Amino acid sequence: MATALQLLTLARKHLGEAYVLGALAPKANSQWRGPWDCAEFASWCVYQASGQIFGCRPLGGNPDTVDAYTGFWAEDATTSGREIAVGLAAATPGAFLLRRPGGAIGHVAISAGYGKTVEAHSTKRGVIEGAAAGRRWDTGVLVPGIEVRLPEAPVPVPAGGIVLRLKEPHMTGRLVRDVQRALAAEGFSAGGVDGDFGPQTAAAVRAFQLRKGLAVDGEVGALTARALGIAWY
Amino acid sequence: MEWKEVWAEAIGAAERDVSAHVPDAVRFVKGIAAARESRLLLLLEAMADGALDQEAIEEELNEERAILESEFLAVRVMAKKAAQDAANALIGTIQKALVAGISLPV
Repeated sequence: MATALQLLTLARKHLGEAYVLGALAPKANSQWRGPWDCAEFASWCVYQASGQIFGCRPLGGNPDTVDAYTGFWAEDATTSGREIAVGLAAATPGAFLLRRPGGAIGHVAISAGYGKTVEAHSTKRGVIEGAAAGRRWDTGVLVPGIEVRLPEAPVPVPAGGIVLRLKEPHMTGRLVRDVQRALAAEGFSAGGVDGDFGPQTAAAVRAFQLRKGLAVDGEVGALTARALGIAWY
Repeated sequence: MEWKEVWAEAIGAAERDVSAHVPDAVRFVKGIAAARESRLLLLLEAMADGALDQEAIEEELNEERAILESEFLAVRVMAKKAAQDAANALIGTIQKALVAGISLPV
């Protein structure tokens, strides 16, 4: 069993290292220095700290070749792990904050407590110490093999504004049309300006985010909207 | 000491411990609500401006409801601590009285 402090100390040794979406990190290689993506970084840290494979497939696979993905994190959170409230995770060093992929690309970050995170963020920022506030999280996760001390008082995590994303039913309206128009102007076709945030719009958003070095999640929140030049809510 | 006195004291100790946690729980619930307030306002603004269709806004509000419920559940952790403290206070009072000597009711 590793402590939260051991996990965070390990994670912080990699601050500033490169982020590449889809990069694979050999979990058993203690000398690995990136590139990372968010799930690979989180799973690599868990394995290095505790010897546990979490959020990876195939199950029982070779630690050096298993693939980490936020969708697998979401699955493991409900089986071998434990889901907790976001506010509780944000206050618990060694817990994890998870945005489920929901048909696109999710995100996972290690909670450093007090609303802070350590995470492989984006191409532009790499591995960073960040903050949970103002971002969309679906759940907190406790991972087996990482010993945490749940705080007596959770930390309320301030929510961000509107986040357009792929969901069922699709999000629709003028704001979606604004995004599709701006994407098209940047050279990323969303398959038309129909005001319906479907898979093609999400794909165009991901391509735009990748080009701009933003966190690639296919969702349009304040940061992506600003990069698209759209006034936001 | 008479058992009735010991028991009343033990109950009082448990009550005091539970009560001591209530302000924290109330503060937390208010904090969670405040943390979501700006987003709720932005959703309402977007609705008023016609930026998102009514159905999309309602879906977002439903999601906010689920988030609030999930976050409020964290009060359980605080309630557990309160329950532990209260149980410790109640039994602790009886244990102290045992050492001092209790007259049990006949």
